[in-house]
Amino acid sequence: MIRTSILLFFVSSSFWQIGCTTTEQEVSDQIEILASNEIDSERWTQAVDDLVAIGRPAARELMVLLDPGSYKGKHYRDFRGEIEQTRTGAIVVLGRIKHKAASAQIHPRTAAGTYTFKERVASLKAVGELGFNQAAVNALISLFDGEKDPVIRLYTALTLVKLNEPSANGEIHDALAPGGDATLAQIAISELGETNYFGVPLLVDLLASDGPHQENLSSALESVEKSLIQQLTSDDPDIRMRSANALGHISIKPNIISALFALLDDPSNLVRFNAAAAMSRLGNEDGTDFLFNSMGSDDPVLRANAIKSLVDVQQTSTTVKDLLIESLSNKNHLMRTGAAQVLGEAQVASAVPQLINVINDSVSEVRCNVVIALGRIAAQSTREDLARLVDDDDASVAYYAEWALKEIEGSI
Amino acid sequence: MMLPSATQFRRFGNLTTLILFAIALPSLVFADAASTLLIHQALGKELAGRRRANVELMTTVLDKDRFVVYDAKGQGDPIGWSILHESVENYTPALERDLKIHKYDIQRTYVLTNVAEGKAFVAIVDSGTVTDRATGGASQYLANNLWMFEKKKEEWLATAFIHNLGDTNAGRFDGPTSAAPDLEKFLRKEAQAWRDGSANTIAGLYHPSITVFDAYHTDAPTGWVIIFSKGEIFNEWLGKRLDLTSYDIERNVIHTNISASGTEALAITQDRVTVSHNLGNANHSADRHVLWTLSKQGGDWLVTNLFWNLRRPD
Repeated sequence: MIRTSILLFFVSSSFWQIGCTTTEQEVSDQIEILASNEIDSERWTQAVDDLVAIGRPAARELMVLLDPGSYKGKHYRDFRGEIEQTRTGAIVVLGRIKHKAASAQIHPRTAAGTYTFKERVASLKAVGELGFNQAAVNALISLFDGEKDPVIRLYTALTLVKLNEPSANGEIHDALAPGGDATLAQIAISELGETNYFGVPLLVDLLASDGPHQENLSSALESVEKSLIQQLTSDDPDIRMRSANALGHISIKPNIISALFALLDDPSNLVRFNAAAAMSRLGNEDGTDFLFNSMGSDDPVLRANAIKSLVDVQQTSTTVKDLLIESLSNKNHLMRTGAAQVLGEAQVASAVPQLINVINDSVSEVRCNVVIALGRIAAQSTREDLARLVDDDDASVAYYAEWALKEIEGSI
Repeated sequence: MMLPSATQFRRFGNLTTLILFAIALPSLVFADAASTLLIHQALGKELAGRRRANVELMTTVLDKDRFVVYDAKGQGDPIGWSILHESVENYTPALERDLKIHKYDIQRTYVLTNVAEGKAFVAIVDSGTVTDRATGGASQYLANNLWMFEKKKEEWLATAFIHNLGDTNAGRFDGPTSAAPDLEKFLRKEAQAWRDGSANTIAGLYHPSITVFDAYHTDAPTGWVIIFSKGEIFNEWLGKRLDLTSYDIERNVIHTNISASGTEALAITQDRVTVSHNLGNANHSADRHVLWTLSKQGGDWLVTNLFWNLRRPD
């Protein structure tokens, strides 16, 4: 038995070693192809694709190429152009295989210095692919301080969009402004098509304003939309959730609604509520019904999710306001409570008269949430009604009535 | 008994690599630090010997088999350099003479110590006063020096000493240049071997213990990097490189200097190197200055040090 185990171990080890050697050789061969071909040429692109197909087993050798100090001994290359070709390829691959460990090596190289223009652009794109990382965001924001090259500035802003950081969106607006540089506009449009869910609000915003690139922007948004619909079936609930949410900002189309509808049975609460909110924002009744039914549910988790989603929908569209006001007089006190919460958090000032109507609700939880909502809206006209609740039998109602009055005073 | 899956093996492989790396990295770091310490100790002996006029102490750190002193004469441009002493035997009496005449009261500042697998170079600044023992007249002393070391049987020994290296302000050397015919022929033969793609021929022209530097187009040694510290690694790279690429080298020998007895030499060439790749259609080309140090062994020249991409001052 022991002999058999030892034999099996050695046989398996040999297979493993052969496997590793073969992969290493394959990676090494592809790196040579990168070194031998111009960036973006057919063979160079094929080598990048082949390395992406190898995936993580290629990462270790590719990481070596990022370090300027590693080009010695067997890794030595006597031409900067070769280094640029191999390093750019390595950066693109590491970004595409989302090798997070490369982030710390790549993002410091986005700044001017040892890397060439092409390497920097590839690094910026890779940082966007690798996903959010606070150190990378900080490095990118600080890059604007000394960077003069408009192309690098634009790629930096676009990378920040991919990392859900909108602070440099002005650079993108400028690139697409009438009379702007055609190359910059082309880069902006092409990259916006790659910004996934984080780029949707900006694309929608750009399309809403008049500009010379509307047709191309519309195509970019369509490309993002296709990816988002595909991502609704991703194994990662975070990707499903963000994709669903972003689709709710685009427009009502049967294919979008049917794809979102399928997510109303998703095992993840967050995915279900983001899908419903997206549908509701687009004016779809199924989504709205899902949210209101959940708001009246006995399950506090469902209620909390419904309220959060309805606040989001109310703040970004007008599709649920009337139903929320209507819900203030619903028989179910949980509906009345939830509606008051949403109207307060979304600060819907036009709902004040209806909120006042239920200020003396028989259920203290409703009264309490109405008072909090009025405090958030802080309308002067509600002072007298709130003052009467300062002596409410329920201590919470009395406490929040005082708080609301202070909020109103503070808003003067 | 279940066999581990390929993924498990890969994980195991990664873990093994990680463990080996964790064990090896500190030892590598400490190895470099320890080597630096030993090299500084050797140079400390040399300095102590110079201060005390103790030639024996000074020469204990020199490699008896191969030690050459180059005089840079305050020039950053290697065309202005020459060979001062070609061996320890040759250097020792010169030192004795000098130390009988001069008393050195100098300090040593270490600017850079670059260690790479058994080879090292150290940039130092020696400064202080030199006093004439007979007259008592003192003068200020300041020299940028470069020492090259090789580790032999756990001992770091100096193989070359480039004395009084010029800084970037020294400018381009505008004195006369010369090219010895046999050396020029040798250097052209080396270029031809690259064009022929013959790794064996090239390797045969190099000393087994050759050190190759890339100066990355800078004249300051702080920017130089040892890219090959052993002949065998260089030959391995060369073999692979010439399998995958074809070189074309246009060489202009712009200066050579041969030592008095004709056993050591230095040369400067201006090369245009173009490479084409067998696996693609990219072409790369670069102009570079190369500093060569050579040693004659068995009647043939062998390259002992190569400095690629050396920048000549403007």
